[in-house]
Amino acid sequence: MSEEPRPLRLADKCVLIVEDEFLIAFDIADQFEAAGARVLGPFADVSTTLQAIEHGDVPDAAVLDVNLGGERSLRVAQRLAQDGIPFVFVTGYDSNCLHEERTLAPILQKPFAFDAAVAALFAN
Amino acid sequence: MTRPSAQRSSALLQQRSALASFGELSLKSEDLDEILTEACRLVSEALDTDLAKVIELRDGGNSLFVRAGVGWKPGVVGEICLERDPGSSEGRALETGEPVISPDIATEDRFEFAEFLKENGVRALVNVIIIGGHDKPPFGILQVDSRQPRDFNEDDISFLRTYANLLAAAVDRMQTDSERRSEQSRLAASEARLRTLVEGIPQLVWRSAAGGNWSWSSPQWREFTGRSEDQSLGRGWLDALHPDDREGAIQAWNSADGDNPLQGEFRIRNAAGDYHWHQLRAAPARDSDGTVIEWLGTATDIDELRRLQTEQRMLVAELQHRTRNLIGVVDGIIGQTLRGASLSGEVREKLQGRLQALSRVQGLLSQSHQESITLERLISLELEAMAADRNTDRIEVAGPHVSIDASSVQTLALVLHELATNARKYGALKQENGTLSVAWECVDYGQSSGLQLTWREEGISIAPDAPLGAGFGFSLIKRAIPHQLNAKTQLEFGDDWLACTIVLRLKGEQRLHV
Repeated sequence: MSEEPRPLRLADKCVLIVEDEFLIAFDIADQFEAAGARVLGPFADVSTTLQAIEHGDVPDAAVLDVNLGGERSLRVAQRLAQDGIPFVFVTGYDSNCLHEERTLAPILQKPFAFDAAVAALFAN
Repeated sequence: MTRPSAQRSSALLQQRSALASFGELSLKSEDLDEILTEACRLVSEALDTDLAKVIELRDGGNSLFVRAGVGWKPGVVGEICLERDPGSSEGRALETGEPVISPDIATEDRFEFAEFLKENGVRALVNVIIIGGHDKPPFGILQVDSRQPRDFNEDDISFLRTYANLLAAAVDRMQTDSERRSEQSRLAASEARLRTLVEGIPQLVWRSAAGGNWSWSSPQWREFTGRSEDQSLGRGWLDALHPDDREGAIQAWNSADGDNPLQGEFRIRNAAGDYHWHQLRAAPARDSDGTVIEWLGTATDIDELRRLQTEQRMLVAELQHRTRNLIGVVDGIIGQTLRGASLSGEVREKLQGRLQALSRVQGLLSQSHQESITLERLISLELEAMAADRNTDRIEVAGPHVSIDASSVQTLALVLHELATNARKYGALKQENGTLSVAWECVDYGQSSGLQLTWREEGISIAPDAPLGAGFGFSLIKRAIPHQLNAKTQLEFGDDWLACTIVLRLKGEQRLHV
């Protein structure tokens, strides 16, 4: 009741954010940071993201837009899946159109609830 | 006694000669009127009378028409038509099937005689039936008339019977031939019409035995594919299909039988080497026993249709993407605007949740032309949005298949959103021991049918600040849906439970269909 879940519940977590729409990307980043997480990104395209994963540290979770300025984020998703990093897709497309994506990770429709993303990413 | 005997021999000879002459003629001529007239001439000669005629039964046997004859004044042959009269000599002959003789009509008291007979000076007559062949009713009567009183003897009658039977056989042959000829010409005309149709329609037409073994292909098929008849026969036509579609076409044939017509969409290569999507359909043709003897099929070019459908799907998907992305941007703006403001978290969350519900409704509505929106779908979407795990026994969603009218979807979705949000934040979706049951059933709603939806959470502790008791959600449930959807709503709370009951009237197209 008096429980206040927000402060620092994601302390020590690193979250990768891949979203090309500036207002959405930085809003997501803000919310994760407000919950105590460290944000990797936000990145707006596939190659920058893959480079960051190669050279940077390994994220604990990721939020991935499907359409990055016309480019599909599937390669990033496959890489994350391969590394066993939990992630969610966020998109305006209907999940019925996203045959490959839906086999890889949960799909959240935009706008998505921060709590729902957290629940999906850190369920365990 | 020698004279009568010689006379008799001469008469018999004449009769035999008449039979032979008539037999010859009836085999040679194809003209029924010629045969009948000649028959009258020969029989009047053979019996040495001046007059003879053939009366044809018409109008289902109710009329007697003088079809042919010799010796009559004008206005008789081909013109006189009498009603069948049981009191006439003809009527008697037809009734008994036996020859009827009137040796002298001046002294005859058994029958009435037609006026034209007297006008033509008839004194004696004999009627013999011309029977019908193949179970048909009699063709008519051969009537031999004499201008002198005459007692037709047994030889005459015997001759006439034979003669009439010969005549009946000739008539039957002519009629059968004529029926066959008209049937043949009818068939030929029908076949020509069908051929024109089959070869004129834009579809590619073909005939096939079971299993897709073609026996014929239309000019359209040959022209479109640039393949010869031989190249397409049997399963040769498969070569004109896209390699990836051939297996599917064979499977479609394997699962087609008398109860399941062949149907499928495949790419067919045209003469220039381009593939066009076609819809293949074939229906079985059956013999009179109902056994499938072959298949008649068509291929319809649906390339343009499919292209437009794909384009439309992409446009709708893109529109949906943009709409939702825009709502996402609005959400981002709200987040950035509220940043640092007091109470921003709570306000943000509520605004965002409602924007999300609207966004989901947009998604549903953009698909509503393809599939109807069901209540089950609406509930599932809201529960999924709350990341509620439907696989646990804590959540139960059950009810019949019912589609929701597009105009009701948005409001109902917002209500469900408020209930689900409440459950996620305070109730069954948050508390470990909470259970949620969403159930609906068909009920009476005044004169029409209605739908009762019950959202029930149990095993929860009700927080004093639980917002369903007031605010936007409360307002939606207690005021918006009664106002907009003509619903009756009820919201109840217990120590550890919450129940919301909504009774909606179903519109015509929302009938339950299980």
